[in-house]
Amino acid sequence: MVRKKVKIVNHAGMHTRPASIIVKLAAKHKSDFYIIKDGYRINGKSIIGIMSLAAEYGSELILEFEGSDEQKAAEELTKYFEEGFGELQGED
Amino acid sequence: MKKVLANFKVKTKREEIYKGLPASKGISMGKPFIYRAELPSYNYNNDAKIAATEEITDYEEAIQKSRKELNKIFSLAKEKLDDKNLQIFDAQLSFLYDDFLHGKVKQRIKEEEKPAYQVFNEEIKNLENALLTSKDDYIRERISDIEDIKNRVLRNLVKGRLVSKIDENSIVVARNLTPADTILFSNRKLLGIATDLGGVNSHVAIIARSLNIPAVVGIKDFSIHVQPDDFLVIDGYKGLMIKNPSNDTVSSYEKRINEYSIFEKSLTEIENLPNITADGKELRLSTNLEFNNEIDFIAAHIGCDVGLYRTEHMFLEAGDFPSEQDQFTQYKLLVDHLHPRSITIRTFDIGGDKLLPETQKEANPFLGWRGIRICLDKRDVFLGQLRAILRASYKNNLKIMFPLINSLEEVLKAKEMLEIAKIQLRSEKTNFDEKIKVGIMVEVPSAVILADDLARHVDFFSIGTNDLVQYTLAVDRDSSIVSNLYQKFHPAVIRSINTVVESAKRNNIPVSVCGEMAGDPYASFLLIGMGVDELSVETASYLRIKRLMRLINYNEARKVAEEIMTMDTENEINAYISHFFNKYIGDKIF
Repeated sequence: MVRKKVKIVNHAGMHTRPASIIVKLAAKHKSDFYIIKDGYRINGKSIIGIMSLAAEYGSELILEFEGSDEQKAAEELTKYFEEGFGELQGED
Repeated sequence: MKKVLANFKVKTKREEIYKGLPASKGISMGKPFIYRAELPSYNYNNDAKIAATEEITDYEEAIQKSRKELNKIFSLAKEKLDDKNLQIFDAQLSFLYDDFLHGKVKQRIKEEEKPAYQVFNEEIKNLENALLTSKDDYIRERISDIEDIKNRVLRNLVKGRLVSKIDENSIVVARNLTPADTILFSNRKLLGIATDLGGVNSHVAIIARSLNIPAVVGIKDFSIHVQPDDFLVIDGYKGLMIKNPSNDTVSSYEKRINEYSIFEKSLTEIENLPNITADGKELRLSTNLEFNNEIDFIAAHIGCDVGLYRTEHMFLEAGDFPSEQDQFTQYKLLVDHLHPRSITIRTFDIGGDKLLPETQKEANPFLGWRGIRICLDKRDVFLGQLRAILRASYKNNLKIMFPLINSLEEVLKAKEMLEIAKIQLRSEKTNFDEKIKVGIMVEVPSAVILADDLARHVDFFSIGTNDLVQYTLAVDRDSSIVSNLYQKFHPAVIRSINTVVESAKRNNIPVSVCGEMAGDPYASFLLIGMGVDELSVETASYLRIKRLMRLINYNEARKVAEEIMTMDTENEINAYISHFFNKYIGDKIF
C-alpha cells in the first residue's frame, strides 16, 4: 500500500470539475484508491464520495493506493493534487 | 383523527372562483390531479410494502434514462457550450456513472426496504449536507451543480409512475406543463388542464385544443390552493376555475354542458357539405395535425387537407431526434391513411430550450437557437428528416415547409439540403415526388418585409400567426402578465398579414394561415376577407370554422377587410369586426 499526504493548493478547492477528473484518473488504474480527510475515508473512484469531503483550499488529505499498479496510480494522482488540479495559473 | 378532520373540511368548503385565460373550449367537472413536475415530490405511503427488486429495476431504468438524456443533450449542444459548462456537464455525467453510488443505493433499498426515490434522495442530501459544512463559499455553492442531476433522476423515477397513476376522470392542475409533460398526458382521456402559468398560445394550450380537452391557463397561483379532495369545474369558454362549486353552480353548468353538446351535434350536419361561402366562393379549409389519434377525424372529412403537420411530438415522445426510418414509418402512415389529401409537413420546429442543458439555457429562447436555425446547424438530423419526407412522398401528396425563416439565405440553404437529399435518393433508386412543393412559414417580421423576395424562391407561404404576433409586437406569447398586449387585431399585425397576402398574389403562389388566428371566428372572417387562400385550423375548430365559412358572404368580407386596412388602433378594428360579424353571422355560438 502507498500513502501520500497532500494539500489542496488551488483556491477553489476540490470542487465539481476536479472531482470528476480525479475519478477519471483513478479509473485508469486497477488499484483501489481512498481519500482520507479528518478521519473520513471515502472511495476515490466515486465522485459523490470525493465531493462529500468538501475539501476547501488548505485542506490536508491522505491518499491511499492499494493494488498491482499502486505506484503508478499514486504518482499520477499525487501530481494532479500537487498541481492544484491545473488551476494554479493566474492565481496569486 | 384523520376522519374527523376530513368531515370538518367538507363542511367549511366554500365555492371559490379563479380567473384565468380560456385556452381550450369545453366544460367539465371532476377531481383535481395535482401534477408537480419541476419539484419532484412523491409521497409514498410509509406503511406500504416495498418490492425491492422492482424498486431496483426502476432505479436502474431511471439512471439509464437520465444518462441517455444527458448524453443526448451533450451531443446536440456540444458546439454551443463554453468550456466551463462543458466540464460541469461532464462532471454531472460522472454522477450517473458512479457505481459506488448506485451500489449503495441498491444495497440500501434491499436492506432497508425503502423506495428508490427516498434512498437516492437521502444519498444526495447527505452529499449536500457535507458540502454545506464547508467554510468555503465556493464549495458550498457546488450544490447547484448537483441539483440538476438530482432532479433529473428523481423526475425520471417519478414520471413513469405519476402518469400511470393519473385518474382519467380528473382535471390536471399544475404550476406549468412543458410540452413533454403534456404529451405524456395526451394518451389519456383527461377532463381538463389548468395551469398557473402560460398564455392562450402557449404550447400546453395548443396541445389541449388539438386533443379537444378544456383548458384554462395563467391562473396565477391556483395550483397552490387546490387540494386533492377538492372538486373542480373547468370552464374553458370563459377561462374560469371554480373550486368546490355550490349546488346552484353545478346545476347551471350541467345545463350549459347540455347546450354545448347540442351545438356540437348540430355541427355534424354540415360535415360533408362543401367549403363554400354563402355567395358561392370556394375556399380551402384544412387542419393542423399533431397526434395520430386525430387522423381518424381528418380521414372522415372529405376535402380536409393537413395544412400543418407538426413533427416535434416525435422528438418530445422519444426524448431524441427520431431516426430517418422511424420518421419514414410515421409519414408513410399519414400518407396511407389520408391520401389523396395533401399533407404539409413542417420540419422540426424545436426550441433550443429542449436541447441545451440547464446551465446553458438562453435568456431569450424565442430569440435564440430554434426552428430552421437548429435544422441548418444539425445537418445530419435535417437531412434525415428531408430524406424521410421524400421517401414517403411517392404518392405525390406531401409538401415540405420550413419554420422560422428570417432570410433568403436560410431558404436557399434549406433548399440546398433538400437537393442533396434528392440526389442521394436518386442514386439509391428510391422513388419520390420530384416536384414536391416547398414552402415557408412566414412568422418573423423580417420575412414579412422580404416577402416578395422570398416568394420567388418558394411554392407557398403559410403565415404562422402565433409567432408573427409575438415577434411583431415583442410580446411573449407565454407570459400571462403581458397577455393583454398580445393583440391579434393590432393594426401592425393585420397590415403585416396583408403585406404577405398581397405579395403571394403578386407572385402567384398560394398563401395559407396556420396559426391560432385561423381558428378564431372573428379573425378567420377577416382573413377570408383579406384573400387568404386557405385556413388551417386545429381539428377541434374545423367544423366551427366550416360553419362560419358557409355563413360568410365573401364579397362583404372583402369590403370589411379593405376598410380595416385603413384603421390604426386595435380597438377600432375589434369593434368594426364584431359589428359586421354580428350583422352577417349573428350571435350564434362559436
